[in-house]
Amino acid sequence: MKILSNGKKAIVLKTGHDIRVYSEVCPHLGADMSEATYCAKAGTLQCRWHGYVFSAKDGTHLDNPNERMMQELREPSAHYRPDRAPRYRLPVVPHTVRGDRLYFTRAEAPQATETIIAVARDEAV
Amino acid sequence: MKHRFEVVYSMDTTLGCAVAAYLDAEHYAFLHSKYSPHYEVVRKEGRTIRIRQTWTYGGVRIGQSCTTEYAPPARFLNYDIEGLPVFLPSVHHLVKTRTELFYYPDATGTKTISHLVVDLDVPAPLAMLVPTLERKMVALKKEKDLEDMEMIFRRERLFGRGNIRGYLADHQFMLHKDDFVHHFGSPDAERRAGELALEVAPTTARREGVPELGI
Repeated sequence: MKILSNGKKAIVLKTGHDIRVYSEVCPHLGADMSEATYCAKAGTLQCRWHGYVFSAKDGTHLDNPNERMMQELREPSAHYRPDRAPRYRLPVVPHTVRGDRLYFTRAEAPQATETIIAVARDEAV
Repeated sequence: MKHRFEVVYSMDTTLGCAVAAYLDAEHYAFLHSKYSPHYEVVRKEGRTIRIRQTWTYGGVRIGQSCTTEYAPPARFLNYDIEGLPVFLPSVHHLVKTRTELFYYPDATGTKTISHLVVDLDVPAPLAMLVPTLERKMVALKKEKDLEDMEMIFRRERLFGRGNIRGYLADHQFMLHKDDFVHHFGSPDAERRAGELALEVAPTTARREGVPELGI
């Protein structure tokens, strides 16, 4: 995890030569994903607030354990439409590698329903 | 021996955010994993839900089951608490506990008062346990509320104070979602919800000079 000069955080995952960088904001309800549980074996990040599981490889949402735990309560209703659930994805932070340094470029706000953070321009880890 | 005590403090958030955090059941087993790593629903009837919360201790899964009830817009009850497994000695075999939690706006309308009323029914020979039980229950309530406030404060920083749009979204699951949207789906509805919450608040309710949540 890297704290940038603007106070925002980015999550940097390095596997061999492969580097993935994600925004700290969970696309579900905004949890700090730098506090997520990383499972190297499964290649996943699990959000600390609601347990949503994301792929560490591409940020896609893989699992919501609550769907099993609370199956009896998840009947569709007037204001609960599970069929409309978005395809959550951890926002990827654009970056470039130059030599042994990683540079971030300010990201455009992802298509989220709420606001999102941006990361600092051209800041090296 | 019957013993009643109350825990009252102010939470620096709006009524809608406080209720949303309470009804946001998906965080119970994760943000509050220290207290209920396994959460199961036994049955649901209207606004009453029987739940089972368990954790593993020394290789044995222990826990408790209880009935929770939502009385919209901002009142929450817990009762019929039983230890699990039932054959293991538990405080719940001896002490009957019933809690009633009221949320209502403070005098400024910008903060939420959390007002918990706890009724204990303790056999007379165990009366000496009451202060300890009370102290532990108060600590547990504050710890869990502080975890909720961490979530609320972060969402406030990201999305603005009082922003519950994420919870109101059609796809977002929460307990008693239709009731929540009915009472908090608009600023006008939320204002009326605050008035309704005050109508049913305990006679001991205070809206000024209430201490802020803290350990």
